[in-house]
Amino acid sequence: MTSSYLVVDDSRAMRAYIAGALRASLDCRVDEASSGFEALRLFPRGSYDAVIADINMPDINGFELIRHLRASVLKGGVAIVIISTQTSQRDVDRALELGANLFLRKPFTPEEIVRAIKSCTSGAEAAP
Amino acid sequence: MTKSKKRDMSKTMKEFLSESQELVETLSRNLMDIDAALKVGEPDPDMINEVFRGWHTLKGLASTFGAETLTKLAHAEESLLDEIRLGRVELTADALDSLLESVEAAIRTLNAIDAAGDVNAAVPATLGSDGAKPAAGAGAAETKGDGARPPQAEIQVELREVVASEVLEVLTEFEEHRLAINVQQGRGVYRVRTRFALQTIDAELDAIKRRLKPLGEIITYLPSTESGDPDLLDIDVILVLNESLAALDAALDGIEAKREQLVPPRVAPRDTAQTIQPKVSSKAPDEQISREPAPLAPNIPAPREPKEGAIVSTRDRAAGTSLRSVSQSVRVDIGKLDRLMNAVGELNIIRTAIAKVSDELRTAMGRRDLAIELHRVTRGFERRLAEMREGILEVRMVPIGQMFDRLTRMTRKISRSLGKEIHLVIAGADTEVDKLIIEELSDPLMHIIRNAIDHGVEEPSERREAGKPDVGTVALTAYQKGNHVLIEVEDDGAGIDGERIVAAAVLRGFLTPEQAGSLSEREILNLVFLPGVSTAKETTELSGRGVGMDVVKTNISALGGVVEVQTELGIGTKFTITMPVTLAIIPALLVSVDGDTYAVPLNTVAEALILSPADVETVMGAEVMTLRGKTLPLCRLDRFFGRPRSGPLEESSRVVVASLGQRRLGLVVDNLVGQQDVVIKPLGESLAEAGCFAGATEIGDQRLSLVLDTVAIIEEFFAIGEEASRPTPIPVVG
Amino acid sequence: MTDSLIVSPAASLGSRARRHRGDRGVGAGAALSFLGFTLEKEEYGADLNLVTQIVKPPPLTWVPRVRPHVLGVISIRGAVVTLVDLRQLIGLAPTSWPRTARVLLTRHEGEPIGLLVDGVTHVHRVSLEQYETGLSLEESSRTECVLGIARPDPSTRVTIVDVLGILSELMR
Repeated sequence: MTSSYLVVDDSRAMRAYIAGALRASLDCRVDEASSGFEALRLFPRGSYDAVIADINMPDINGFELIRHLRASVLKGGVAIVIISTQTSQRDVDRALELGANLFLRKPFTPEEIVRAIKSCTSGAEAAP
Repeated sequence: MTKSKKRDMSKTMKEFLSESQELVETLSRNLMDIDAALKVGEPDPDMINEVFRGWHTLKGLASTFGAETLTKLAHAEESLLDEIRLGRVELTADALDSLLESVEAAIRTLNAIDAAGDVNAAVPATLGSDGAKPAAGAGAAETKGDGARPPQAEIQVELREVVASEVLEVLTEFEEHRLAINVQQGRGVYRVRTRFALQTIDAELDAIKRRLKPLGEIITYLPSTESGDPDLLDIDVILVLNESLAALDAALDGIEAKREQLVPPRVAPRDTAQTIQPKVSSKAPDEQISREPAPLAPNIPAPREPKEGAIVSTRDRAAGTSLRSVSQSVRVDIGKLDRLMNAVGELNIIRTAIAKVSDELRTAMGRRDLAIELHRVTRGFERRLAEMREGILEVRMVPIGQMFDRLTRMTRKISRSLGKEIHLVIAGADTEVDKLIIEELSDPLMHIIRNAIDHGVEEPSERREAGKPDVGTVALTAYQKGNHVLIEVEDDGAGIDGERIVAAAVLRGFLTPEQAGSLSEREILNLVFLPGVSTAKETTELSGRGVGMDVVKTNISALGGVVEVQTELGIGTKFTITMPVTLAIIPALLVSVDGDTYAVPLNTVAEALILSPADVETVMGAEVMTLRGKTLPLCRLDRFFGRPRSGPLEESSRVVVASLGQRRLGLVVDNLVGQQDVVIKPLGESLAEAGCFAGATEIGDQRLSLVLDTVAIIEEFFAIGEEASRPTPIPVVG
Repeated sequence: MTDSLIVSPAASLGSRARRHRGDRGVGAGAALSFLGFTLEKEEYGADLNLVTQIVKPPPLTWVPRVRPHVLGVISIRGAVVTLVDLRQLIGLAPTSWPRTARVLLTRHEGEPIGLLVDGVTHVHRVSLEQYETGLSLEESSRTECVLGIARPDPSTRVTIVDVLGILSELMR
């Protein structure tokens, strides 16, 4: 079954990079959101297997997004992968405490993001 | 990597470049705004955070795409900005200098990457500056003594006592810091809860921002779904209040919002009656940094009250541009636009073909009604095509303000390095010009401004003696006048001394002393455009850049514009550049003759045909062909150009039928290369003797094609024909 | 003007008497600067102030129906510049486009003109004593374009050409 992912990052090029990496290796559909708010708008509509989000976004930051997503009654179990260039341990701990599955530091290779997705979701199939 | 993956990568590379360039441009604007804000008060911490975020995003991008130089630079800047936004390093004018230097280093790096197509392209060192100085800012900026602030851990404790943990636990380090500072300073913190419909959330968010921002500082937005309705979203705005509670209620009037106090204020909020030291922010559209300048006495702006420090730049409407309105516009690769234009050109050719068939149908037997219908439809098609072409041309138009940003930055740099305080006034940033013009105009404008600051504006002591304010004013104004765009650079400096120019011109050998005596005032002023006259100091290095006004004049005429100067001794000088709104862009038919490509302006072309040797007849020594019953004289361009091909036509060639009024002339060429819009650049006087070219246009990288002056060719051909002699080729050596 | 100015021996070339910029001021040791270039292995010099740029020859577009020494046009930073074969202009054989060939960018009445030379040597500075004018030269065909001879050192002989005069010739 085709998986569905949501990529949240305010950088266009970053979104393209991640979406490209996912599509190349996995049988999936990838939606993109350029802000936390857009993610909130898209999230209820799609049934995503995983959300990949940057911590540092204006207005709603990644932490707030994690907490909100986890609080969702129906879809609170979605896998969440947080990405960031931050190297502070505080942020990594915080993200995991709030319920993120994985923390991936930028820069990462296409293989690394695919591996991350595979490890926290089930049923991720290779691209035909 | 598989081939298709490779192709994908280079597309994302383009995205990376394009976005990085945008980020850097925004950085530059934000830094200039901060510079301006520093003069009147304290810059909004949001502005500083924006700069931090810009470098942060750039770092993420650069590292992901493997651009090492850029990553290092961004990383250093991000660290510096982090220190600044967390209050550990002070933002001084010197620090700003270094921050701007880094932006320029980033621009250079991106340009190098773009040019070489390689993320790790070598970045050329620049004359004068010593490249990227990433960590210099830390040295230049002063680290704040920690006497006034309690160490970070204490602040944490304080916060935990007063702010609910469910708020604290989702704050980033920076947001925590801002909250802590404000609580420490005794301000009240409130939670404002509103409900948005997810569909319209962007607009509603903007609205709330606009209401709340003037009242204090927004720390963060917390989403919550207590409503349970998937289409609605509750947002808690965590707000630090500088004003009174009444002001907050007034701002919330009319929208459904609940406010709750999180941390009570310990100091009295500012009395709304007294004027507030504004937090100067680039986001609030109603806050402007200056008023419109007072009405100008003759040509020069009235000297303004000096603001301390280097530059305050004013931008009329652009000041209020938030990130949101920037996203309304789209960055377009000009190559893509050109391809679009070519596609329209091809459509045009098809349209012509259809028109021809439709014409022939009309004269043929049978369905005349159908032919008429087809003709009508074709006209409609023609109109739409013209609209499309207009539309694409319009997309090429960009606001000249794009270039003004760079000029502002450079002006600040020059004025600081020359030690002269300059007030740069900008008006008309919205005026639109062709994108190509903008690229080529920024250098000449920079030279004019540099001249104004260097030679025009006097030293502060001189100015004081002359009763002028210490701070010199340079006014940059752009506006449209009919078919032209005018750009004025006006300074309130010493004016141009006619005698000095004349002396310099005589010294350089352009005039004799006798001639010097008989010059009109206008001629004297125009001497400033002679090489070597406007540069005060003799230069023996060949920098290849030429800072003289003669270079400026040449570059501007290459674009089809003119530059003029007016001056008044002791009052100031004004340079006016007049440019056509778009470059002379005309649709042209490209043809090849003997291996070279020439452009024939389409408005002189009636049609193009295939010519086989059999069609050519010789009448009274001249070659002609028959076209729809009429005789069409032929002019072989290879012969006309003086390099006749040996032997008669063997294979078919092409005939471009040029028309001038009633006269038609068939220009014989080897091949039709294509049709496209071309920018005509003028040829110099030195080539006037050729007598058949309207100019030259750039086709491909640095290659030029000559544009035919069809009218001149027709006239010459028929004039000679009337004398009943063939045109003789001009002997060519080699 | 002071009498240390050097007057072109060919006052017949044009209605203006061109004066080559000579002494910078009073006093010995005043220097003349010029750019050295080669034509057919001989070194010549041109007033530095008149050369705005030196570039490697970009792709040339031939222009038909002009005099043989006008080679065509080139594109320099977006401007269309006429390229002239300096060798032909002063009476030498046409250029053979050596690899060291360079274009000296000058200007004549606002119009940029490129002069093609075989190569560029370097900038010379000579004092007034090292500069002679008014000599009668062996090849009289070239006298008209020559302002004088400079000797930066006893073994080097550089012929200083009258660039402005040459350019005016071009325009006639």
